[in-house]
Amino acid sequence: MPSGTPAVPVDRNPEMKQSSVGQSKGYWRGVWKHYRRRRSGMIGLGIFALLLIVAFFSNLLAGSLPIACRYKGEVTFPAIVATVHKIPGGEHLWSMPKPFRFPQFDAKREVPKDASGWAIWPLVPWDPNEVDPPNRLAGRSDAHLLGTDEVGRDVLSRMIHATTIAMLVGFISMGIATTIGLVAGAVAGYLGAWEDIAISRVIEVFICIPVFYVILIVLLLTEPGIYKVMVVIGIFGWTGIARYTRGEFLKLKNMEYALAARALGATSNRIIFRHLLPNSLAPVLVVVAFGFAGAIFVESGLSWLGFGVMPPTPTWGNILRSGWENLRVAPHLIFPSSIAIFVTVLTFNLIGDALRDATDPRLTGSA
Amino acid sequence: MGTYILRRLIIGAITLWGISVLVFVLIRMMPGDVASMAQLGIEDPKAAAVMAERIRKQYHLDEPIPVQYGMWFSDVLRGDFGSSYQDGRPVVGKIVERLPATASLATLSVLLGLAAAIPLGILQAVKQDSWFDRGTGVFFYALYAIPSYVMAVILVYWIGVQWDLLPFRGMTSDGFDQLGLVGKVKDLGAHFALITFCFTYASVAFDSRFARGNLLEVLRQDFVRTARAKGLPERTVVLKHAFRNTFIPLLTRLGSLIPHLISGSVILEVIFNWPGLGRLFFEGIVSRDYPIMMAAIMVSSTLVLVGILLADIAYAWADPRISYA
Repeated sequence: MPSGTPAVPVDRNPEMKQSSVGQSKGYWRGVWKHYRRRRSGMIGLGIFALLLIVAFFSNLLAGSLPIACRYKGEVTFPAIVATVHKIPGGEHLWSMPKPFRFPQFDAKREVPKDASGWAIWPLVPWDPNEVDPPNRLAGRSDAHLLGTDEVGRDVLSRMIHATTIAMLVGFISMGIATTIGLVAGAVAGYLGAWEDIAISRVIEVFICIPVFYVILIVLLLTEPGIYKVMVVIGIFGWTGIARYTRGEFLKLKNMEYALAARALGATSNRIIFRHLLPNSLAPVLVVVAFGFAGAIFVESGLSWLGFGVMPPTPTWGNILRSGWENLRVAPHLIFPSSIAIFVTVLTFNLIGDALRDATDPRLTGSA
Repeated sequence: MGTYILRRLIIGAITLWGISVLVFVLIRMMPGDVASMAQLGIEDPKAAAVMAERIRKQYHLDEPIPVQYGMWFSDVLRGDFGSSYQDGRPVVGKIVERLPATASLATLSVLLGLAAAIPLGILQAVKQDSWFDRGTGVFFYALYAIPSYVMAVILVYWIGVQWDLLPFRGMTSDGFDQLGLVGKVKDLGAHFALITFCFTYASVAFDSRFARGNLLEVLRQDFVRTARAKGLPERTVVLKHAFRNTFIPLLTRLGSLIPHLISGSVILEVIFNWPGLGRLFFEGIVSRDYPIMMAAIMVSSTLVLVGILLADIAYAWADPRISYA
């Protein structure tokens, strides 16, 4: 079978044949060239970028800390500091200015008291966990653009901060799944022999296991935590990636360039990581894109059942849940979260499909 | 063929055994069990400890894990999945009791889904690139991205609560037994409507595009041109010659659909308060009912294996070119 397939890095790029001078434009640029032609894929990528921006800058969009303020003679940027703190290790880069550091400090009440001070507030001046008790389950109003939930928290603020969680779910679970999947698939595909048999068996067992039940069981029986769901989804979601990687490696390991590298005395590690992995990554990326959608889909479902990322952390799933529990009085809770879940799943499906077409040699006209 | 099936069954049994060991150990290694849960309500720590000890003894939770597994396994070989910790009733009985609700839903969903998806897919393929093809394509693509629980919540809100058109709790109304035959059918139909739709729409969306793609691929082949060239009506070419050749991928798809329908129904069954297997398993998991947990995993895994095997057998039956000698 491998003999019938084209040498991937050269032939997938049709322009190579015309320009005999100059360096190959590279596989990834070829993929990007084909990807860019698909409007739906570009729309998906655009929405993804938007989601990432909302996720990263959630503190500037919604929160009870001012973006910039002058309080007691000092100019500080609490919400920007909070954003920096989202970067791992960010706490050491820039520490939160003093009064804003204390949870009991109510910036929204204290800052305006300072006559000589000023403040720029986020667009939605509510913290996702800040309660506004008189307005429980209130509908849309000027103070709460999307209304409030059952304890009086601002829904729009929770929706914005839930975006961060959704993106974390996607990146962490898919990061774990991709790492395990790539390694397992590469080992099985490249080494063959008993390693392949063992890994293929494990994959088969994972395919038969009802993953949703197992995730539920593991979540229920372990200590709660924000990242736990993401890790568990990742640990149980790597088999698809491993299967694709294995298939790619089986195909690629007998290609001329891999054989050439081996003839030159390259070690297995070098062949796997320098030569084969970069060329098998694009088809795997398609699976990862769909997996991203799947992870958010599963987490929202688990949140809906009450087993996802733990409350009070906002997630689209638990907002939908509180809408369900108060369906007759507060239908305004179900639509924003439904739309967010739908749009995100759709976005990653669009990206995955466009990526599949862009990496399929039959469709890019180079086969 | 016979040897092939036998070999597959043996491998399947080994896989199932592996799964059972894996999940059994996983469950027992987790902190907290049914005894520690029963303890929660008791204030006196001494009484609580005695209580927990008694429960552990009763369910043999004080034995080492391999011994517990041995006991569970030898019972399972005799067709006994133990008794539920919640009400002491045999797990097998509880499953049999819940099976009709889930199986009827799954059957209905598969039949309706295929009945809608195949004609739609054929129509899309025949009218490739027409406004109908493009329109339904975009619509189904979007539809497919709506998670079933999201769809369920929205439909329940509009159709169930707002317009009060259809019931959405359970399988029958109160006083179902007093209804006449027509009334019973009507009542069941009304209760089935929403949950069946939520169960089915995604597979209609997927399968119609799937059928379309397969049919388009077949329509490009030489024998179709031959059929057209010898003057057969287009209808016969599409339905008799081309469509039959798209059966095989559909069969595989069906094989993977059935287990998903039976075990993948947790959220929908919880939403619609459906007396099915998904909810039984969910409630079992929530109350740390080990026998139910194990049964849930084993039943679902077996269904997946059987689904794959049936698809492979159907493969050989539908396409004489495939043989597993």
